[in-house]
Amino acid sequence: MADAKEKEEPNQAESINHTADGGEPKKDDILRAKLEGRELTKEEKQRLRKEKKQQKKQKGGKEDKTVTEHHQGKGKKPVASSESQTATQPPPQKVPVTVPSPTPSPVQVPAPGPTAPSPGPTAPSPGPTAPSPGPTAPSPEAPVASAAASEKPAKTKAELKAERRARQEAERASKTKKGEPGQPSSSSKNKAVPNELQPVVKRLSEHVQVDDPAAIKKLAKKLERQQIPLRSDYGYKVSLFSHLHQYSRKAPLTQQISIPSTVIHPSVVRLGLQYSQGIVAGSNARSVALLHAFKQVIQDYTTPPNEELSRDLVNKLKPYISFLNQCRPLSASMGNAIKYIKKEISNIPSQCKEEEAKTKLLECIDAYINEKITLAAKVISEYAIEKISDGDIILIYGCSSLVNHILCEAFEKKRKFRVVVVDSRPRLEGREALRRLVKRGISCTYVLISAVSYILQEVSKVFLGAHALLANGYVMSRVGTSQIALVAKAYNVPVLVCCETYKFCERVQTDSFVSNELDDPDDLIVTRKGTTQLQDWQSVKSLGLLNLVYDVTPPDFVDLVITDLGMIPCTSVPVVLRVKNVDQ
Amino acid sequence: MAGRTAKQSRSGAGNSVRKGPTEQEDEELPLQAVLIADSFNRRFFPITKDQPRALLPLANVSMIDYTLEFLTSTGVQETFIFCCWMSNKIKDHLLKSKWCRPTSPNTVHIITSDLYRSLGDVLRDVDAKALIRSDFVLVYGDVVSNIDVTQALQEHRQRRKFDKNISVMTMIFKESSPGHKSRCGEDDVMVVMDSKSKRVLHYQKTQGLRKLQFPMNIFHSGSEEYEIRHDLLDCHISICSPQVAQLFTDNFDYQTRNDFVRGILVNEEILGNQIHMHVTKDGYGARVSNMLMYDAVSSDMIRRWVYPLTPEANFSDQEGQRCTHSRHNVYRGPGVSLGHGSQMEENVLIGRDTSIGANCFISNSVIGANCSIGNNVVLDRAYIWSNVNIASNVEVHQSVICDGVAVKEGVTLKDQCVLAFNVVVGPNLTLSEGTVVSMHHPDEEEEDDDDEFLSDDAETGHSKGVTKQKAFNPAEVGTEGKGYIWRNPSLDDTEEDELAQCLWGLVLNADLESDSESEASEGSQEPGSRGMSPELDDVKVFQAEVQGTLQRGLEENIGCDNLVLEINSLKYAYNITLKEVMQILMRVVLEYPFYQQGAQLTAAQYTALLLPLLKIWAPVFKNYVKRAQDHLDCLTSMEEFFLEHEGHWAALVKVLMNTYQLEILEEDAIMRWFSQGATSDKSRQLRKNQGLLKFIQWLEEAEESSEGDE
Amino acid sequence: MPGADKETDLSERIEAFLAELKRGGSGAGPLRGAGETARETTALLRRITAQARWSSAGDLMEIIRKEGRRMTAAQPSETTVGNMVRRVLKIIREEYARSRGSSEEADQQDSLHKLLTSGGLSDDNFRQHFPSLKANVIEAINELLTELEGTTDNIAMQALEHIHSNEVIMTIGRSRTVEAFLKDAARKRKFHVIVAECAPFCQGHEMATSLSKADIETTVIADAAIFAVMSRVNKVIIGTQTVLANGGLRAVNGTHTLALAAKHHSTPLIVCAPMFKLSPQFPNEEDTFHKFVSPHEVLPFTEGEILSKVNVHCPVFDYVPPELITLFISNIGGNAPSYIYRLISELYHPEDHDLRDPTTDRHGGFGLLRFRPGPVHPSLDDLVVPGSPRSTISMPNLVRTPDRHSPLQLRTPELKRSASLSLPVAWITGARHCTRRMLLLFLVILNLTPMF
Repeated sequence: MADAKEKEEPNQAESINHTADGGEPKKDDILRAKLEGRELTKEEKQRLRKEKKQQKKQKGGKEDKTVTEHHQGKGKKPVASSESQTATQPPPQKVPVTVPSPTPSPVQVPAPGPTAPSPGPTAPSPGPTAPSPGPTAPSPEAPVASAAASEKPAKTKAELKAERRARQEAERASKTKKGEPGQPSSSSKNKAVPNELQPVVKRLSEHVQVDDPAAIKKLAKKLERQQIPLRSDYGYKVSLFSHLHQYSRKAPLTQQISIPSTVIHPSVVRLGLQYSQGIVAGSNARSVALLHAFKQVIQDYTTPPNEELSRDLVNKLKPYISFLNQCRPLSASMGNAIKYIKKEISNIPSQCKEEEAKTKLLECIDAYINEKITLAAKVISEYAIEKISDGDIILIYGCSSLVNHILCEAFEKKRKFRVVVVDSRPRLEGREALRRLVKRGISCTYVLISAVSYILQEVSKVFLGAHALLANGYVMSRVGTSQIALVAKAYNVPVLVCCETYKFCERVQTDSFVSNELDDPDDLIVTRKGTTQLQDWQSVKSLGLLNLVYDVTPPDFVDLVITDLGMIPCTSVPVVLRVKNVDQ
Repeated sequence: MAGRTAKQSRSGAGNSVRKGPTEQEDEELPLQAVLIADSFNRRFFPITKDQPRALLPLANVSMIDYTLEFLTSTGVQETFIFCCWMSNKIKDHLLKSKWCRPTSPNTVHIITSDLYRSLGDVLRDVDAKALIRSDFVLVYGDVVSNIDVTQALQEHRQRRKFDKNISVMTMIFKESSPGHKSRCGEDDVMVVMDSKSKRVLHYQKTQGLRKLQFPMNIFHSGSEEYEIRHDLLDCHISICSPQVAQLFTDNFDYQTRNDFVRGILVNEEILGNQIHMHVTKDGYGARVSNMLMYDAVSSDMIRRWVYPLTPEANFSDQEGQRCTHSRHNVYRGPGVSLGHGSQMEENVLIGRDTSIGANCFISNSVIGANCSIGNNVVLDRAYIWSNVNIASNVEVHQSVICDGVAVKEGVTLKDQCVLAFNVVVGPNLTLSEGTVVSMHHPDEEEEDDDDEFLSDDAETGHSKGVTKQKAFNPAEVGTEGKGYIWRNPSLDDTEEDELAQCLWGLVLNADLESDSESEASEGSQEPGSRGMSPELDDVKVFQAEVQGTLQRGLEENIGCDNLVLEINSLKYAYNITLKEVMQILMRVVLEYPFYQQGAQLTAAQYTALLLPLLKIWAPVFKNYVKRAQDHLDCLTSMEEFFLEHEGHWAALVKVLMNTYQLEILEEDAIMRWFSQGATSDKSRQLRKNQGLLKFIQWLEEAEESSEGDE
Repeated sequence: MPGADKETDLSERIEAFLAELKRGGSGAGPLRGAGETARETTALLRRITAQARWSSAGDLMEIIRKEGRRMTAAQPSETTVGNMVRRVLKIIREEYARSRGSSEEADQQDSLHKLLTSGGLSDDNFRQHFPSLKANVIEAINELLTELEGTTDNIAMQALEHIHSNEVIMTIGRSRTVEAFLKDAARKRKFHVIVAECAPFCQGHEMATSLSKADIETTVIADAAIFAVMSRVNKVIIGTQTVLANGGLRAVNGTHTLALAAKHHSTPLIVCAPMFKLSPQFPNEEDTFHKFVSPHEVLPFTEGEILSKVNVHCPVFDYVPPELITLFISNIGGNAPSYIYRLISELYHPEDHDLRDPTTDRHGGFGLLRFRPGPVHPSLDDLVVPGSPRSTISMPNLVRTPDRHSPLQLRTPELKRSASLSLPVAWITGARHCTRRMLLLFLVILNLTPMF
């Protein structure tokens, strides 16, 4: 549902006008954040695994350090690289702040430098650095130190191995298929790569376990390490949803802390804000925006000396993705896109030149946008139009860029049909859809979702967009979709869901609670005839506002899913996933 | 008693929004309203020849009923209705309606007079009769609205309490973005307001203006926030303080509310009066000021924008008005029958006992009571009033068909056609866009023109007496057709649109209507005057009128006394002094040849043309030119004219000669003029003119000789 | 004061009331609670009985029927008005019967035969003049009024029988009855209420605030989230605008969706409806079932040009078929939807079911109506697709013939017979005397009485 605003270039143009700031800068932003999300999750996985191995292989303490140094170096390199000239400035200033103990500090300074520091000085570093997180946590650069601290135990030679190993996995994983940030290749792996049978710690994406303090701490740590502010929840949360984040649109991430461009590429920052403000909404729009942002990032990227693009770039993107994830949880489509990019990056042979590597990546991204989104839409509308016969009265819900595209195509093809646009508070995206359709000259009727059972009596088909198709055949989409499908079923009106295959994802979910998104509750407040009932709902402790974003529609409400691979029943989503894995 | 019922009706309103305010209201004087059941213009001509605008049916209910319902529901307890044109009809209607029942919570007083020529007159009369005791609501008889003005009223009263006579009027606007169809192009307004005090600083009709100017001083008036708004729709509902009436009395030049507002705003410093505004988001309010608005408002009505004033609500309590509402906004009165295969697409209202044939396709239309419609008829945005008979295979698009019209087989009405009362068209005829057919011949206009000015409603009936029955033109209205096409075939196309437009009100500005009308009616006026600026002063208009009159007189050789009559009436219309009349008359006559043949006439041709005219019109002059002073006035204007056209000084003598011989001017008057009067050196030159000197000489001699004779 | 003055005063009041009804609901649904309307109507009718000129029950009934007709016409969506009129008519009948000595059921006993012979109220009876009648009728109406006063409390009283501790209850929009019901329960039990806001009017917000004030844990959700959240709800409690003769509902829109969602998760759906909301009306989409307010509520005027090209609908009511409803809680206890028709037959006299005077509003051959071709579903509508059987099926719904609802085609004559267990009288008149409990018991018995 609600693949609102822009989708492929054409749409973008029109979308711009209601997008706060123009497409161009946004586009490249988008590209960036993508790699990150994927990367994150994997990186964490590595850590877990490595911790396990820790006990067994207890040797080469020294190497640890060096490795860590390496790692630290890596950690900072992006800083150096991304803002080229003043690369070296930050560290020196920072050091005194971070590390109270004199000894390591001088040594740590060179650390960022090209050469790996000598083990000697760093040896004691655990001592001094350990406390550092405590006192210095708030200080802007603390993350670096703390990062070091947190990883110290972890990094071993084994860890290096693990890392390499993880990367292969990841490659396989991303080969297997585009999963979703939530539970990444781990899940995909045991599906796609059955030979790996050892059970993997199934990692929930942290944004669905807010109620678990441990998870929160972990998240906070990671963000700190990546120098990304943690976004605080807003308002009273409905008991059923205490495991989800609830942000206020009025408090965007960057409001209080300014994010140095050394940490996050400006285009990504912008994108993040556009996400959190809902300026860029709808999974297609968001993915496209993301990809473009990442293109920008890649263009501006320069591989630091004696670093490997394939690895460094990936690492570099980590903070971006966790930043975007803070702004608004990633959508399935974005997850898949990120996976894809990440795969492409890691596929780049180390000996390959930077320039051609970058151009190659950019091409890949463009190709992805083109075939997965633009062409997919074309194909789908081809199929869908067959389903639209003259005299049809078609009901659509919210503003799905794909469905709009289909209808417009059909109208071009001189099909005679009317459209019923169903809309729902608080987003009222349907109005946007209405404007677009009416502009094309399609005759429309507009009702709110509460009137759906009245209007459905005259409807002949229901076309719905989707946010993601889950492996168990459930359709995840804008909240309200399931309701429409329900009523349609009751009136025996066929329900057709349109969805590009790149939105298919591995996750399984049977209700709208486990993994969902809470939007700003203040949106529900409304003023009628001068009185605002919910004005001070915050002050009334027994009163809560729930502004859900998605819901899942059980497959038995959906008669048909129209994808770029053809028309299939919901239940065969996993099959499609499998097929895609195989042919990749 | 009215007061009591009103109180009940509202205390009944339980927790309704407007309870609080109105309760106090009852302690105060009952709320009064002035309803002007007369539009003082001729937009709906020729329909309004037979039916005053306030009674025209909109969604099968007379407009005035909507207005009254609006007033009543907003808590008005006493309404004064001022009628002028066809006041008796309006009166009858009202007496029959529920408003005059003893139980009506809103007591209605009907005041009629044929003397009202404008809103100004009415309010002056209000003041004279001292009808108003407190704040009152001022609306026109063609306003359709469901806005609850109570809040605005409260604000208004607060202001008045705060400082007594500062705020005199609160205008009510409705938010609606530009391009909205029920925004009337003509009174598109641009308002500058003080966002805090809601005070109107500048009020301007944007229609027809290329660029807008705002007087600087409004921004100096000491408030920090201003709003310049173009997203407002003027509902033509205004809450006025009693002194509004007085103000109208004080300033005779206030004719319309527009004048008033501008006046107040302009000399705000002097009078210290202010105008405020109230912008409402919900509710609906619009004035049916032309056919386009009629179209827009009707469709809004059908689409229920004016809820609870919906067709099926039958608020006017007329028997048999009840109708039922079903999907796609289809309303059916009792006894409606549809033939097989007929489709009511959407937004259709069908009045009582109307029967519709088979395979018709009806959408966005209103059909009145007792109509019969044949088979295979296509109606789109058609507004069909009562007792209309439409034969088979007819197509109607966005047109208005008045009562008692008969449309024969195979007629097609293109957009914006109007068939006035009892017209018959067809069979097998296609009326092009903007055709207007009426039983009244366009020429009746002329007779009407004399005693009637900007008001269709002042359209006097007795003109029919004068009507000379002309044969219908079958080419225009079909073989069985009855009625006259309201345009002169001789006119160029622009002329035709002119008429359609002033009905459908596309571009014309309210002030322009007057002469656009006269153009439309009195054949070929030179296109020059059409483009005139909105504020063309009366004298100009008068001159134009006179000129037209004379011309027509010439074409249809109307007797001079008739011409005089007309000119007189015009004189009153634009209240022109006799002096001006003479001067203008003279000027017109002298300029006449130029109108005919353009300005590049040689003196010789000019005189050749002019002299016969003078002969013809001598009586007219004689009628006016009596006292010695008159002669002088004539001469001076003649002089002015010739000063402007130096090329034609030669003609001057001839003219003088003629006028002298025709005894329009007396010699001594001429002498006197010649001797004195020389003001500018140019005029002195003029007097040096050979011919003139000769003429004077000749006169003197003639004098002497005549004396000699004795 | 002199009679004439009384007359005018009366008619003024009536006019005022009518005007009130007409403008009623220009905003969010009905401006005032149905309860209020019911009371006002009854009070007005009492006034009429007291002040109007009438000699015999027949005249009075005529007068009341006439006024009633106007009232219902004024705001067809306000069914309570019609219901109260019917109740009063019924009262008059009873009082008349009583004062004539023969008890109501007496002339109901032979009703079947009577109905066949003399269709409609046989004018010979109701004509006699009883001096005491007026007083009795007024007294009875007063009792009716007191009963009306009590309804909400009576319903609220039963709350604890239906709500157990910390369950999750969903409701929609705002219903004063439900509000009272929940608050009453909240005094003893802790539970969580989820309120669907019910756009565009968002009465839900009002509801939520007032509930949370009575510190019930309340959550407001958008209408779109009803289905999403339903899986965690274990009871749905709603109010309604009307209970139809078939046990269906005419409730604020969105309710149907809610009911379907509840059904899908097999969550019990409980309807709190005082008796005066029972209406003999049957659901069909003819004239007055739906009520549409200004599209402005849905799509603001500021939307500009596209408005002229778009059709915007803003219905106020939904039809909820009986099969989706688990239980009715009225002021006389809980009933299954299947039982409603019975209650109605007790509340109103069959003669009064149709207040309309068939002659005034006849309708043309709607069977011939054709709408935009669109699919038609086995639901109540008079959409007619050319060449679909519906056109004939929906005909009877649409064409209102004088004898519609007439005793002849009354729902099963047995009904009358079982009614002759003198129960209706017992509870209409007796209900106010005997305690609620034994009344319930009464109805239980009634339930058991076989219907053949």
